[in-house]
This record gives sequence, structure tokens and C-alpha cells, in this order.
Amino acid sequence: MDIMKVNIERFTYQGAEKSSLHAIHFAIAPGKLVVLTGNSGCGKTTLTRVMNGLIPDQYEGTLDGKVTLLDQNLHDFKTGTLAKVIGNVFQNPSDQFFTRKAEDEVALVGENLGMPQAELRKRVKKAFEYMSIAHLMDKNLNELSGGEKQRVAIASTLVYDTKIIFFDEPSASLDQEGIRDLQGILKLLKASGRTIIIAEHRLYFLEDLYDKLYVMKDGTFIKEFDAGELKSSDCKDLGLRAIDFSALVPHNTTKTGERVFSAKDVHVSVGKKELISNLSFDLHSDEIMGIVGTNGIGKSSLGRVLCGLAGKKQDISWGKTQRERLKNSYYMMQDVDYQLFFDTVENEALANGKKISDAYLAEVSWIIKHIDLWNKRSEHPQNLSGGQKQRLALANAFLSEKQILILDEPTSGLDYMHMDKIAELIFELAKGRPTLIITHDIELLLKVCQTVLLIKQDGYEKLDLQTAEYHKLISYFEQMMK
Amino acid sequence: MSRSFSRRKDQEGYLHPLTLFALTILFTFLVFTRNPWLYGITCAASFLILLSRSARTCIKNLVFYAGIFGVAVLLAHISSGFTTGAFLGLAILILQLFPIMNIGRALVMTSSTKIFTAMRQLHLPISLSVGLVTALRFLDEILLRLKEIKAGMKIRGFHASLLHPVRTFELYFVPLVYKCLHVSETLVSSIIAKGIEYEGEKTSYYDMRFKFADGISLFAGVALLGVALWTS
Repeated sequence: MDIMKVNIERFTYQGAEKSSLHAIHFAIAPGKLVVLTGNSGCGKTTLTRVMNGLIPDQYEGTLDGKVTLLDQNLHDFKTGTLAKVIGNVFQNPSDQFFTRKAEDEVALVGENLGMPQAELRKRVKKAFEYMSIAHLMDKNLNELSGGEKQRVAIASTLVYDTKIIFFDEPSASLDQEGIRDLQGILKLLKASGRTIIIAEHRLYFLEDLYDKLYVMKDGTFIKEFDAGELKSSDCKDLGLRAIDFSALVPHNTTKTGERVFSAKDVHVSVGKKELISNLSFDLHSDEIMGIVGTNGIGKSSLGRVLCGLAGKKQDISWGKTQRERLKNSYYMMQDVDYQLFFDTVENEALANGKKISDAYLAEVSWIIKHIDLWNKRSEHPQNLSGGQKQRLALANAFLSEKQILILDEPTSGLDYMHMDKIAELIFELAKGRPTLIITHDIELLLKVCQTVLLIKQDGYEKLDLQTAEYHKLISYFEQMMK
Repeated sequence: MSRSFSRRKDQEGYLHPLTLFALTILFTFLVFTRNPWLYGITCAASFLILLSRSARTCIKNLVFYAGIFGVAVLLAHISSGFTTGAFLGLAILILQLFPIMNIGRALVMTSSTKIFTAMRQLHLPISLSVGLVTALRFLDEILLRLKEIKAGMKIRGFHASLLHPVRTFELYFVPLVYKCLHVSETLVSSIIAKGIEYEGEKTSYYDMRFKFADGISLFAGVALLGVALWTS
């Protein structure tokens, strides 16, 4: 017997002219892991919302079709009781927490559905133990790492004997180690007999896990793969993220110029804890250097030191003091929402410290067209999609007259097409200025970087991706997934 | 060992959120009493309540209180011009409001689940309860988010300035408000998916009965108010 049957002729959001889903018919057997993939806007999140009942409870629209769960129409379930059968883990775990304490968050579903206190306490404890995070029970959620938050979010789906768990882009806010942990958790959940449905761009960590993989485009399935069927060539043909790293090769063949900057014996600390010590490297004109490292090694903190947001005095040639480094470098934050301040895309791009002149207006127009936001130039930047905001933030970085650019995870949460677009922009616009990219996106690294600074617990090394050293980078990423 | 200790505190040690709400209201009247003894008792009680929540926060607030007190004493002893008078007035106002701030801090530090359950016990509309608990949850985060916005401003070369209050307001609050809106969409989905709309009986993870400490605290609060009214 199938646990869930989906028959959707058409779904249209309230007020929308075009339908978001059409002609979707499939069934899911119990205990299977199903992946929904495709570029942003293809309809995978909408499909999960129909399947988990958030449509039409939270998102209104017209659904022509039916979804059955355990042979019962999803909408015949008594209000709220779906939580006993379906668990949800949303894209950014921090945003989904209603409480501040980990155990309170996990207990919430039981409280809402009237589970007796003694039973609830027992089940909450068991859920924490199952996720191997019993030590986090009384912790403030704000103090947890991304991976720990995700484990708490998953634990909250285990209080009841949940049959299906939905994951919406679970790898989006995780680094390499977090993704490896997630892979382990998914294996565990699958082994426990739960049905798992994942909407995701990144596919490599799901290679050995999926039973069925559906590729979506324009609101419908365009291709489906059974376990192990998806190959690297399919990913290339369908414009998907890579399923394995071995086929990846470096793309940037531009030779770097002369040495223009250097950093010597850089120290990075958070509070009293020293994360990085004695880090030295040179930067050359036209060089795009990736910065890669294990979880918690201090990559983002390094970015903040290099741009002058932290670190006081350092032996860095573009600025010994914080003030000098802030003057000479630009840091694109991981969450670009904190760097967008104005009412229109146009005003946002214009406010980069230069005097308004015909030449500057022409430059801004050119770059807005180039980042494909010309039709949205009068819209509020905060209303743009994630990929659009990242492109605008990137445009701001390039419009600034700073001598060195530092980009922190510029492609987090982006599908292949948008990652490729960002890579193209970096490649084109970085010319003449050394650019540092802090990322764990190996596809981006191999598309745009000539060099990579690989930081490990026991030291660091700078790899030249234009030589056979790029294999070291691929091995490093493969090693991280083991 | 420490685990079982913290569990016991959760179950037995803390005041009920409704008691804290009631004490906040009672203290609002008490802090404006002209009787220094009553003020002293109110202030000490508020520090004790905060201490029962978090020793660290209590010590921090105590140090802050002592600092403001020192400034007030200093200002009272130097020439009483208009400027020093204004600052003295401000310092005294802060000192007067301190007991309310302490109780408010204790309330903010209370588990969101406990507050939510307490509001359910009062049969308040669910939308109001969710709104209030969400607001309290965001209080913790707002400072972190403002810090990030400040970093974003620095990088782009924008600075907060008292001479340009509207622009400063725009720089800080536009990203903050949008961030909150984005988070609220996921948050609403999350709590709906966790059965918040279930119409049946709800339970609590914590023991939410009124205890002896609640009775004593409320009695003391009302008694102090009575004394304040009597002596005025």
C-alpha cells in the first residue's frame, strides 16, 4: 500500500494568473526517500506545501486534484492532527523555531496536540537521544550551530511516531561537515522506516540514499530516476547540481598577474578563543582565490578580519588597522539582507559612494542590466528572490571602488543555473581586482577560482587549481563526505 | 548531575509567568512611592526574582544599578546647574524604574512555552498568545540582527548619525523589518505544521500549577501596595 498518493491536475496560488503546478501524478511507498529537484521557481516547494497540508491552510489557492495520506484525503484530517503523521524541517532551522530553548521547541508539537505531560517528557528525551543531542536539551537555540539547530528541528518531528518527514532544502545553510552529518541522519531516519521527501538543489549527498528522484520544471515533472540511475551526464543535460565530484574540472584558465597584496601571520579569534594563527598568503592581480575549511575553523571570522570588521592590528598590506582595511576592501556578507538598505534596486546600486554623473549612471545601468534586474529596477531590493538579492549585492561589491573584494558564500542555497550566473558575474566583474571567495560550493570554486586557500585544523595550504593540485581539492571534499 | 538540577529548578523553583505579569503591574505603582523603605524592599525583591532566573544577569543588572546610583550621588553633590539637574533627573528615573526592568527581564527569560501555556490558561485568543510569545522570542535576536546591520552599514560606508535621524532610522529598520517579515512566514508555517490550530485539549511540558512561592510573592506585592497607599 502506498503511504501517499498525489494527483494534481492544477494548482494556482490565490491572485496568481499562472498555475504553479500541473499534471503531477505519483505515489510514494512507505519507507522510501524521494527527492524533488529542479531550478528555483520550478514548483518543488509548492508541491511539498500541497503534500504537507500547508496549502491551503497557510497558502491559499485553487487546487484541482487530491492528495491522500494513508488512504485518507489530506484535507479530511482534523485541523492540526496532521502533525502526528507528518513532520517538517524548513530551509533555515533558525527561522522555524517558536521558542528559545531546545527542549521547549521539541515539546511544542506534543503540547499542541495534548500529549500527557509524563509521556511528552519521555518522548522529548528520547527524540534528543535518537538525534544524539541529549546534551543540547536545555540550551538556548541561538547558541547552537547550523547543524545542531537542524538536529533539533528534526528531533521535533520525532515526538510522535511520524510516518513522513518533509525537508525543504536542508543543505542550504549547512557547510560541508553539516551536510555530511545530515546525510548520516537521513540514513538513520530511512533505516527506521520513515518516508522522507526532500526538495533540494544539491544532490551529491543524496546519491546513495534516494529511491526516486523527480526533476521538475515549470510546475511539473520532466524526468524521473530510480535509485542510482542519475548520472553526471544527466545532471549536465538537465542543468542540475553535480551528483558526484569526480567529473568536475577547473574552468578558469586566466593567468594571474603580479603580486599586489599580502597578508602575514594573520590571527583570527572569537572571544578569547584563537581560531586561526599565523596565516600568510599573497594575492596577485586578477586572482580569484577560494577559501575553504572545516566547520568552525573560522572562515567567516577570517573574512571579517580581512575586511576590517574585526581583528584590530594585522600585518595585512591593504590595511594594518581595521579602519584602513574597511576603506580598501569590500565584504559581501553571507546573509545579504543586512547589506540592502534602499527602496529600489536602482537606488541601492547608486548608493555606492560615488558622485552621480552621466558616466556613473551609465555604469549602474549597465551593471543592473548585466545582473538581469533591469525589469526589477523599481522594486524593493528586500522583495527580490534569494538569487536576485545575491546578484544585487554582488553588483554593489563591484560598483564600490574597493581594491579587494571578499565574498562570503555568494551561492548558498542557489540552484545550478543561478550558481552559474553568479560564477559568470564574478568571473567577468572581478577583472583587475583580487577577489576572495569563502565557500563550500565546490562547483563554484572550480568554475571561477584559480587558487584555493585550504585551511585545516593542523595548518593550511594554497592550491593552484590550474595545475593537478585541483585533485587535492576534490579529494578534500570527497573525504569530507566520508 | 547538573542536568537533574536544572530540571528540578524548572519544575519547582521559578515563579509562574502570570505571577510575573501581576508583579510587573504591582511594581509599576510601587516604584513611584515616596517611601524609601518601600522602594528599597521592592528593589531588593526584584533583584531576588531576577537572581532566581539567572545569577549572571542579576549581577550584571546589579553592577549597572550601582553605576547609575554612583552617578546620581555624584551629580547630587556637584553644582546644580540645568544640565547636571537634567542628568540627575534622568538617573533617578532609571533607578526608580529598575525594579520593573528586573521583573521584565525575568519575564523575557522565562521559557516561551511557559508563557504560551500561561496565556492559554487565561483563555486568551491564540493569535494574541502567538504574537506575544513571538515578540518575546525576537527580543533576544534583535540585538544580534542590529549588530549585523551595523556591520553591513560599515562595509558600505554608511554611518548612523543623530543629525540625520530619518536616514539612520531607514538604514537600521528597513533591513530589520524585512528580516522579521521573512522569518515570520517560515515561523507561521512551522507552528501550523506543529499543530497549533488543533482544537482539542492541550497540555504542557512543564508543571504550570501555582505554587507556594507564587502565593507568597503576590501576597507580598499586594501588602506592599497596601502599605504604600496607607502611608501616602
